Amino acid sequence: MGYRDRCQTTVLLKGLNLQLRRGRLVALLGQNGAGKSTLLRAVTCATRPLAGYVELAGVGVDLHQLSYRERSRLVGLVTTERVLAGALTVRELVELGRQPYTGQLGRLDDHDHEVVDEALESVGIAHKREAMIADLSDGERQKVMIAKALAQRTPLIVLDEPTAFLDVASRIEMMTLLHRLAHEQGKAILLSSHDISQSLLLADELWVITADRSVVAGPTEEVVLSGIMGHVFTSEALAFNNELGDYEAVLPTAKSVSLDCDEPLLRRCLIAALLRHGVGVAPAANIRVRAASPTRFLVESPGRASHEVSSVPALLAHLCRVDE
Amino acid sequence: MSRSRFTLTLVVLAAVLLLLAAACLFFGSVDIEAAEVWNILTGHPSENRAWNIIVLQTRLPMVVTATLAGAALSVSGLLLQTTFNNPLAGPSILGVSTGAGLGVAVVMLALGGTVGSSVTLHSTGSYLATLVGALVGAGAVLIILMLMAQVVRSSTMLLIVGILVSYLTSSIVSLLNSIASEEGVHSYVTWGFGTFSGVSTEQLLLFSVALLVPLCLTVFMVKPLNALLLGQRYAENLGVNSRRTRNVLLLLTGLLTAVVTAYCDPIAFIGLVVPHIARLSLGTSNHARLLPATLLAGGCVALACALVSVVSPYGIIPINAITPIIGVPIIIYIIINRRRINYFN
Repeated sequence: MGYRDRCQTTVLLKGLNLQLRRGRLVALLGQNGAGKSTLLRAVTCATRPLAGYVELAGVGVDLHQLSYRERSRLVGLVTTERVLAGALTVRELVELGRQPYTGQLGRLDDHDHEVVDEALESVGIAHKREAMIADLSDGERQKVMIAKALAQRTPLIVLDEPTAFLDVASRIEMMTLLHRLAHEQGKAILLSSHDISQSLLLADELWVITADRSVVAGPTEEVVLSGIMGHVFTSEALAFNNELGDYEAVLPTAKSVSLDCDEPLLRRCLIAALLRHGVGVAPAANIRVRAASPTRFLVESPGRASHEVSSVPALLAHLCRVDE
Repeated sequence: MSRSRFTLTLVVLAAVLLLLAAACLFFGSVDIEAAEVWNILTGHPSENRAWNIIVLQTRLPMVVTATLAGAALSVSGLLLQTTFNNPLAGPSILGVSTGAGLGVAVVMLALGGTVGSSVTLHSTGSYLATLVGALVGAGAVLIILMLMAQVVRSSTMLLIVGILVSYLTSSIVSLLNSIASEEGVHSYVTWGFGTFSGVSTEQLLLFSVALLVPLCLTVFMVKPLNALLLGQRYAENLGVNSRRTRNVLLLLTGLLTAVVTAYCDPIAFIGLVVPHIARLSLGTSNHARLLPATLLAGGCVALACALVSVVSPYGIIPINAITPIIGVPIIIYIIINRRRINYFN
C-alpha cells in the first residue's frame, strides 16, 4: 500500500513519501504540534492534504476521490475523542462498524453478526458484550472502538493516540493487542503515540517527525540506530537514553563518577539518585563508585583511601565532600 | 439493552396514549355522557347537535392534533439533540419554534390579519402561506444555528445563542404586532399560549400529512443518527456524509417544528423533554429504539397537556402554562443526575 502526501497546514510537512504494508504495526512519533494528527487526518481523509494523495493498493485511486461509503470500507479509525455513546451496549457500538456494509435501515444479517462477534473476541471484550459503554474503563472503551474498526473489515486501521488516557498496564496491553492484530489479521495499522518505549518495543516500523519537520520512516531498529531519536524534541531539557530506549530528563551535574555495578536495577536506581543530586555518571571519571549490594558501596578517588558506606544517602553525602 | 424492556416500554406507552386519547374524547369543558360520546364516535349522532359538533369537530381534531404535534416536536427535539451533540437542545430552546412563529407572524401581517388570529383565516391558500412562512422562519433560525455551531464549539454556548435568537424573534414578533394595529394587542396577548385546538376538521388532513411524511422519513435517518453518536469524525469514517446528513436532519426538524408552530403556536419543553423520557425509560441511545418510543411518549405528553388544559374548571389553560410543569422537573432531575445517567457518559 502506498502513501504519498504533502501535508500542509500552518505546520509544514513536505515531500512525504510513506508506505504502509499489511501485517505491520507502524508507530508515528513526534512532539506535540509536529503534525502527527494532521498526517493521520490526511490518511483518514478527515482533511485533504494541500497537495499529494493517499493511494491504496488494489484500489488504484486517491482515497480522497472516493465517497465516504467507499472509504469507510478501506480505512478504519480510532480516536481518543470522548464519545457520547454511554447508553449503547458494547455490542451495539461494535455493530456500528458494520454500517459501511448495511442498507438504508442499517439492518444486520447473519454475516454481520458473525463479524461483530469475531471483532469482540479479537480484542478480548466479548465477555462484556452486553455491558453499557458508560460502565467501561477507558482501556475497555478503547478496545471497543478497536473492535468497531475491526468490524469495518478494512485493510488499514488508523489510531490517533490510542494509549493517551490509559495507565501503563492498559497501554502495554493495547500495544500488544495492536501488534497481534497486525500480524494475525494482516492489517496495516498506523498509530500515533507518545509512548516511546512501547512503540520501540512493539512497532514494526516507525515514522518519526523530527523537530525540524522532516519525517524519517523505516523499520524500527533502523530508525533508532540512525540516531534520529535524539532529534525529535526541540527542548534541551531531555535526551534520548540509548540504554533505556526512552527519553530522560537532562539535569545539570557538578561532578561525575564512574559506576561499577552488575545488578541492572540497582545500577538504574543509583544513576537516578546520583543525577538528582548533581552527580553524572561517566566511565572515565576519576571518582569510582563500586556498588556491591544496596547496602555496601565503595568510593575510590585519586589520592585518597577508599571509603566504604552502607546506604545511598551516606554515599551521596560522601560524594558531596569528595573533590574530583 | 434487553429486547423485553423495549417491547414493554412501547406497549405501556401505546396503552397510555390510547387511555389519554380516550380521556380527551370523553372529558372536556362540557360534560357529555360517556355513552353519548361513544355513540357519536361510532357513527350514531346524538340528538343534541351541539354535542355532535363538540365531539367530532372539537375533541377529535384536538386529540389528533395533540398526538401528532407532540410526536413531531419530540422527534425534532431528538434529531436536534443528536445533530448538535447536545442533550439540552430542543426546537423551542434553540429558537426554532419562535423562528417559525416569526415566519407565521410576517405572513399573517402581510395578509392583513394580526398575529395569532390564524383561526380567522379560512382559505387553503392562506394556510399554505402560513406554513411556508413558518418553514422559512424555522429554516432561517436553523441556518443561523448551523453557522454559529461552526464558530462556537461549546455546546453550552450554542444553547445560549439559541435562547438569544429565541428572545430576538419573540421581540420582533411583538414589535411587528404593535406596529400592525390597535386590536392586534389582544391577539398578541393570546399568541404564544400554545393550543392544540387550532386545527379545524377541514385542515386536519393537510396538517396530518405535513407531519406524517417527515415523521416517516426519519426512519431512514436512524442509521446515520446512530453513527453521529460517536461524533462527526467517527461518523464520516463509518460512511456518513456528515454535511448532507446534517442538512437532511435540519430540514426534517425545521419541517416538523414549522408545521406544528403554524397551527399550535411555539410550544415549549415538549421537544426538549420527551427524548429524555424515552432515553431514561429505555436506557439506550440507540435511535432504532429511541425513535418509536419518542414518537409515542411525545403523543402521550401532548395529550396529557391537552387534557389538563380542557378539564380545568377555570376555563381553558394555555398549553405553554402546562408544559414547563412537566418539563422543568425532568430537566432538573437530568442535570442533577447526569453523572449517573448512562447517556451522558
